[in-house]
Amino acid sequence: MLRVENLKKYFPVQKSFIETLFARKLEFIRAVDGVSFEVGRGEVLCLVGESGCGKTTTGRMIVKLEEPSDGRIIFKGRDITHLEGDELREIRKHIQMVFQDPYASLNPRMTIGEHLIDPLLIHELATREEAEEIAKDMLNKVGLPAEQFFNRFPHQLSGGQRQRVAIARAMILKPEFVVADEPVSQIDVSLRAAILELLLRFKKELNQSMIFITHDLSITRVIGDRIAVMYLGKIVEMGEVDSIVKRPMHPYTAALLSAVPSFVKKKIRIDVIGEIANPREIPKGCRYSPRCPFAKDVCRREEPELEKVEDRLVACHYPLEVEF
Amino acid sequence: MSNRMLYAGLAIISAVVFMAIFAPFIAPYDPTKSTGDVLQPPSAEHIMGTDNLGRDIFSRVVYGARVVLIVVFSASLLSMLVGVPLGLISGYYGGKLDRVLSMIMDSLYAFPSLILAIAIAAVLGPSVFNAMVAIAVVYIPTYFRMIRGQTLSIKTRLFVEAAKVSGASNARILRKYIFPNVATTVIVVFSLSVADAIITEAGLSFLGFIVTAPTPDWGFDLSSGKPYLPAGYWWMITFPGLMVMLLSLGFALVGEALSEKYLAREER
Repeated sequence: MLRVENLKKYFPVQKSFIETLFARKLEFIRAVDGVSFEVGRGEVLCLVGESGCGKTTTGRMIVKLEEPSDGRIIFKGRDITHLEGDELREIRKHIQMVFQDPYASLNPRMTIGEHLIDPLLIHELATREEAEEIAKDMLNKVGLPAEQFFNRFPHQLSGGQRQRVAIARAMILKPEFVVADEPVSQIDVSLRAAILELLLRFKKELNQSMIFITHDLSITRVIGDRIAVMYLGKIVEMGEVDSIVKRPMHPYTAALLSAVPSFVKKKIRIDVIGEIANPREIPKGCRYSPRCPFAKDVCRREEPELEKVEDRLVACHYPLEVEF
Repeated sequence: MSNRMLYAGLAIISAVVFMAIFAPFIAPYDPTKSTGDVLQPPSAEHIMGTDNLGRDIFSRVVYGARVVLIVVFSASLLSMLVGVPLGLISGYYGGKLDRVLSMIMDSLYAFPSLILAIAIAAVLGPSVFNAMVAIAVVYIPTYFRMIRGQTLSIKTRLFVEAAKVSGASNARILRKYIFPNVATTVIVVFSLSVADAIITEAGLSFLGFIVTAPTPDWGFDLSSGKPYLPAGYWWMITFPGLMVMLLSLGFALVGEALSEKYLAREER
């Protein structure tokens, strides 16, 4: 369905005037540094990692909000990396996004109804009258009765209701591929399950593929088929959700799992040392080595490749053998 | 507080507009004809006195509201129609176009408004229309800068990106997603720039760039009254001068009140 090959995004570092005078060359933040994966039809791939690991940038490149510095994005066998104009618009119909912050993703000066009508009109899928009907059906479907919500403005809605509108807006085009960027992280905990359920319902109904971006590993078991764990712009471990959550091989995955609060007492606890590294200064060798409690000399010298180990891909010189 | 400012400003503006529209019914005398003795101080017959040609100053003040309102309103409308689209385009597209436009606008902005208006009016020649153009040019950068700045910040907001993902064209994003979010600013800048333009208009008129005798206009009457002030005939310039101040104050109050009410709140 969607294949990403060696995708990279480097942002030039903003410097002060004085710094520019003395700097020898341009510095870059390597936000995404060579990421490859594939998402099959009807499959959900969870991109997991701390903030700043490049998971959101990866998602933004796929929906073409960010131009990749290198690499390719292939959607249904077609290279869409550098599409523009009408071709890009045509592709956008099939690849939609649900954003993290429902307070910022709706236009404060536009009614809820208009938010849903607009995509239909842009892609000339309906006349205005038809679009209104489709929009009203859609509102009812996401649990916001149209007669109540159609003419309201975003500020009259709660965060959960707004996220339902955002989901409705993305789904009204019946996309085959959805990038969901932490869609529940800013929603009240009590409403999260309902929002996730809504996403899954659409996914099933439209047989969608999805990239679900999250920092919360506990959600991946509910929604995901596979997980890709990212650290400093690279995938460090990728495989089936169940096997990774049960038997993480990369120390970073294990640390993330250890950090998930749980009512069940954990047998093992694996820590991370220190804060996430600055992507301006990516460590030599394994990127995770400065924070890894198991790091040895070779880790600080050589960067491990993402290689097949048993049922998954892992980028570690000494994959763990633990079970949660 | 901002509500009281708003209502006070609106009251002043509507009073002056009312006065301008119904001038023939309000003014007791013909403003262009001598209707009494010259240089009479305010009295029951001539409540603001008479000028050096024996014309009733109150009538001239009432009729004088017409020129200033027409010039200032049409000038501000014109600068809005030019400044707002340019600001939107410049802020949204950025790049070279933005640099060039910003540079032009900054150089216009660098001149004191009255001096620039005089220069333009002097080139174009004295007439109501030319004065309108001169004042319009002066206030284009005000709209441009405000709208460009707002556009710069709004275009990075998530809902604009969401519109992009929906496939919206740039023109559609500007029209449906960005412009409605800067509309309040446009109204605020309009009233503040009108307040300023009133003073500029009076200045141009004072220098004889807008009307010729015997047309009544506040700024123009100020200049005809000026030579008589040292001799103690204070009423010739006091009343037109007060009206300039009052009308400008009215628009400034409305502008400040609106900006306090709407702009500050949106910044949260």
